[in-house]
Amino acid sequence: MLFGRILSVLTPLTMIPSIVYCLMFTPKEATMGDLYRIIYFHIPCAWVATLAFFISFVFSIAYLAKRKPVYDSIAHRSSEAGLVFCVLATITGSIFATYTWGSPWNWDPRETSIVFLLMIYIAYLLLRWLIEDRDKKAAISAGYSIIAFLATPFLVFVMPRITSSLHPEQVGGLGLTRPMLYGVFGMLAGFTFLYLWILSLSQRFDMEEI
Amino acid sequence: MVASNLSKSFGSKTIFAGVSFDIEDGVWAIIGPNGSGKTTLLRIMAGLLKASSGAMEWFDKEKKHERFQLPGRIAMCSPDLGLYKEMTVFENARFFADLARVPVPDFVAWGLSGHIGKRYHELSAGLKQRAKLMTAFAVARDVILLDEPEQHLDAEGKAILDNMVSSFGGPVVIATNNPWKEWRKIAQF
Amino acid sequence: MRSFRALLAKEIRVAFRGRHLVGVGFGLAIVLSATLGFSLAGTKVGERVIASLLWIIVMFSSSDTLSRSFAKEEDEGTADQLRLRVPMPSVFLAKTLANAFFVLLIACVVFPLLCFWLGVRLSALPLVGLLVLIGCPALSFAQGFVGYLMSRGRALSAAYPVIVMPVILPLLVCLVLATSQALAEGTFSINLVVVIISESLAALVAGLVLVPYIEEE
Repeated sequence: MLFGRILSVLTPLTMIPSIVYCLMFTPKEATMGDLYRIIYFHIPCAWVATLAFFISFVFSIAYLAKRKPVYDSIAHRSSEAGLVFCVLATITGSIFATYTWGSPWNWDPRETSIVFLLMIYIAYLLLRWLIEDRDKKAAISAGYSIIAFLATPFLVFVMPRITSSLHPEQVGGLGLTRPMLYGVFGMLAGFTFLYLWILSLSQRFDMEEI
Repeated sequence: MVASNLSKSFGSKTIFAGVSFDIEDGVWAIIGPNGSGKTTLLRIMAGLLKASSGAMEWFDKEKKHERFQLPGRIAMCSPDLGLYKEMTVFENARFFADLARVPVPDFVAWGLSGHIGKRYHELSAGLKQRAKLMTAFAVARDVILLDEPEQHLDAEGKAILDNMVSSFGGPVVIATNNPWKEWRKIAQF
Repeated sequence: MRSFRALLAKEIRVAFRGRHLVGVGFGLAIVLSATLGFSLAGTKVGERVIASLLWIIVMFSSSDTLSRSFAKEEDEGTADQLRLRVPMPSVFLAKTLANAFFVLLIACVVFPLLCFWLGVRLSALPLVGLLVLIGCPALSFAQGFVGYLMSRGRALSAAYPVIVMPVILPLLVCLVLATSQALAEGTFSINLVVVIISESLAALVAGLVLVPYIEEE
């Protein structure tokens, strides 16, 4: 309860100034001009999606070990939130790719990885939807979440090495200046609080239902 | 086997509550009409199902057994448990004997010697029940749990079953709505 | 060891006497290979396409043999018989190993047919054969645990391909890349093989560790 209240204050307190700062006070990028500003949304979305899937994985393990419904609820709600942020990261990434690489989709390793992640967590939610019994749903989806997460090292570390990438991280970075980096960090903090707030709210609904 | 205050519910439906017992060697009965929770209690005793509350202790009281430590110790015959329909009576019996590391059972004693080459799904209901009972008795080490064991059996089959039950060394627990002898009761639902 | 051998022998016996592996597994493999061979007749097919077709046909022809085998045991009440006799991880391991053998058999049907119909260079065959030998058990290990999970929830088997695909997709990508390299260049990246083996072994070990926790439910 208290955690939720703190987040309800922290989220707007970090997000609003960060958005204003990123859109109005950070300089234009040398080659891309204002277009680069989409990364202020793209990077935090990708980060929060990864964090949310990791939290879902950790709480899935915790559920199988302790069988507490609250752990299942956190794992479930975190993957839902992660999926939303993953879709947002895909959309913002596609917009960026349209203007920089000339096409919204290029099967770049990062794009491929994000499609895999989307598929994994859509399958996870489908699995939950298909099982009616609450205990069964929790145990089976926890097992699935753990086994699915095993694929992530492949997506993060292996995929970019076995295929060529257009992603800025692989082709010399974005060349962000210090004020731009402050903006990115501000947005990262804001998005992380937003995710935790969404998680605490949705998880509270579950607990009331139980 | 010691149970204290066992209860089981599925969702909001309580199947039974407050069941306690302490059983030793001999024949024991769980008696009750259809749907009263006999099978559920047997499955909890077999370690196939977890009780909603209460404690179930198996074998040595000092050395506490968990459900996952049970495989190999309890045998069960129930309408819910089957044998492999693609395999013959002999292959099924040998398979479960191999798992339990015991010799292949005596088919003659169960009146199945003329059917050992038949696939399980080709047998009549009564013969299927005999094959299942034979497998359960062959692999039973400490305890045997029987759920409606007389189902589909003819007079000869019932006599064989009766004989096997009385000559078994450890505890035998029978769940039935129609007890054919006076046994000590674990629970009457 | 005696009980594990018995489990393995039982899997193979039940699979060959049942109609699913022969009727659906091999049947689908032949029909799909023939359909694609006919559809692509007379066109120049790139190595990447051949490699993708090979693994996708193997994948779909064998996709539900494992989950079906687990589900069948639950439906027919033999799963509980096994639970009473042996720890479930050994059942899981026996089923996964037996399935690796079935996937390999299916690949042995698909692979020569596709090579024959799509005109694969003979010199590339030993390397692709080696990848098939590595890839089939890997595919089976990677999907073993999901197959087991599906059998724990009733009515899940219809959704099996949708649920299992994301989990094995990284492996499938590596297999396709390595096979297309073998077809085109007569060699393949050893890193890919390392990834294939480590991914599938990690999934198998995770499955063995997780099965008792799922059984607790």
